[in-house]
Amino acid sequence: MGGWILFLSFAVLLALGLPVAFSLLAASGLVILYLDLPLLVLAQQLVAGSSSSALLAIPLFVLAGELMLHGGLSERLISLASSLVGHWRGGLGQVSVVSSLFFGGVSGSAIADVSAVGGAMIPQMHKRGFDRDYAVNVCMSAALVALLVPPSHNLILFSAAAGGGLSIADLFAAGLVPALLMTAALMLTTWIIAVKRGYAAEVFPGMRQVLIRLLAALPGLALVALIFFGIKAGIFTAVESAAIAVAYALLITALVYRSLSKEAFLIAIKNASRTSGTILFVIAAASVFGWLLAYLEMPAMAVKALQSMADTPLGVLTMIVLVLLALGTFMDLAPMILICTPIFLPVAKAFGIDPIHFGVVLILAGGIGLITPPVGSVLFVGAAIGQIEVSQAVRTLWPFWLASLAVLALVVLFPALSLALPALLR
Amino acid sequence: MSAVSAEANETFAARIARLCDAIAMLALIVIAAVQLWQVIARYLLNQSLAWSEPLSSLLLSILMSFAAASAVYESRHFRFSWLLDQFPKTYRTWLDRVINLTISGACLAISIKAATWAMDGIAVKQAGIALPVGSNYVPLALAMLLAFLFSLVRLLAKQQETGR
Repeated sequence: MGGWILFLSFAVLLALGLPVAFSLLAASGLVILYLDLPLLVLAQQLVAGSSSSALLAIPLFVLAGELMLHGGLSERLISLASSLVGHWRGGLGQVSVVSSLFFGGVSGSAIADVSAVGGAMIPQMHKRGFDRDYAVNVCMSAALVALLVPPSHNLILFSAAAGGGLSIADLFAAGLVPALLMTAALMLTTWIIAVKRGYAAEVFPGMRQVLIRLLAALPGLALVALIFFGIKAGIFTAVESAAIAVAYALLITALVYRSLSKEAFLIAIKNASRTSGTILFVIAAASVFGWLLAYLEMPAMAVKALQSMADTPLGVLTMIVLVLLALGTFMDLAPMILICTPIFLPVAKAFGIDPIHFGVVLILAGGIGLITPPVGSVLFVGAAIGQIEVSQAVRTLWPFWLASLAVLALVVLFPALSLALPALLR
Repeated sequence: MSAVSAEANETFAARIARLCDAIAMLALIVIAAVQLWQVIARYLLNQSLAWSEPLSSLLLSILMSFAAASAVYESRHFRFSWLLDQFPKTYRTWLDRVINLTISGACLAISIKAATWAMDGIAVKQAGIALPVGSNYVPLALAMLLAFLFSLVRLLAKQQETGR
């Protein structure tokens, strides 16, 4: 009964428009009262949920991304992508996809990615004769790549939600091949639609320009390598590498690029504290919810229920993916990771599915939800930047959505796509 | 309540919300500095700082609590409003009030319970830092009290809007 009250009250409050964190807290509060537990548990779990040292990496990576964004790196990354793939069919559309891959490595956030790349590319694409819906759809779907490229804070979140026992370095490595696959799938989709709609390509600027732009963007791209190899080699912990990323981002934008003004610095700090603060509050609220799930033995019940419905790892993973895709249509990624991990990870483990593979699948499936109506947050940000109605974007989004779904299917079917690289680097 | 006093409340609340933002920003800067100092101490000075972890946890709690409070004032918390937007305006107004009241209730309850933990842990010393265990609950107690006031101010402002 407690479980039903927990899920039903959460769903009703969420549907009525109560913020996610408060829906989690109010539903948890109701169940705590129903079970006759002391309400003190609420405050205790809230503080416990937000004080895990692994979570320190999240605000620091968000800050490093904001500093790079406001310190002029995004322009340099777009310029590099433009010289590399701008002359392919679909021109600026291809540039948007490749820029997202580069910028995702710096920000690790789909929203930051669509804001940075979309903010710069959508108006330019429209000016060059691309339809607004196409420009918005390319940038929105390309933003999904950021979820899988280090330093994706969603992967750190998954590691924390899994109890902190999973190697963040392995998770970062596991996301790389699916991220490249997603980039390739979206570039192909962009190309096909460009041919169909008759969009032109840019002129190739020549190898000299490619090299100049590569040199200009190299310090920013080196940040990804610094983070990834620092953690992988065991030199830094994830939190230490996040602190180094902040110092490095400051150094590059203020001293090397000389493009970080005092105002831009303050905006970066403000945006980072606001974004990470609200994410951390959801994390803390979800930890109260997660504590109750464990208290009510819900993960064990989920294992039993799924065992009665499917008997192969692939069958179970497919069922979980369908649930995640459905949840993704109305829930944001961070709360989804925090709520679903404690329920589905034990199920995955019981069926012999590797937790690292499961993490990549969870984030990819949840990420597709970010561009799926009615709620998808990236969908709203992209449409707002492109100054079109969400419904207008949704009408022509389906080829990109299907391409993302195809990548998800490949990652589900072939665990080696996410597990081979971590094993190779171990 | 008169329109003038509701407006004054809102202006005052806006200032407090900005202060919450500033506290969260400062906490973030100090977290970055502490963690960087931890790296320098570990790799260059060959010593581990016992205080860096408990201090960073406290700062993380400050960042979360005050950013969450300012987000209540500015309605920046992640929410799903699609269904709410489908209701006629009269129902939406009522639902909005219910939402604000629920937020107020939750914030007040959390603030009181966090304050209870803070008082209970005031005499218990933390490992690694000269601060009581109860100090970890102080930011949440304070910020949720402010969030409670913010949601009331919003409620009153909305009331004023519909009354006009």
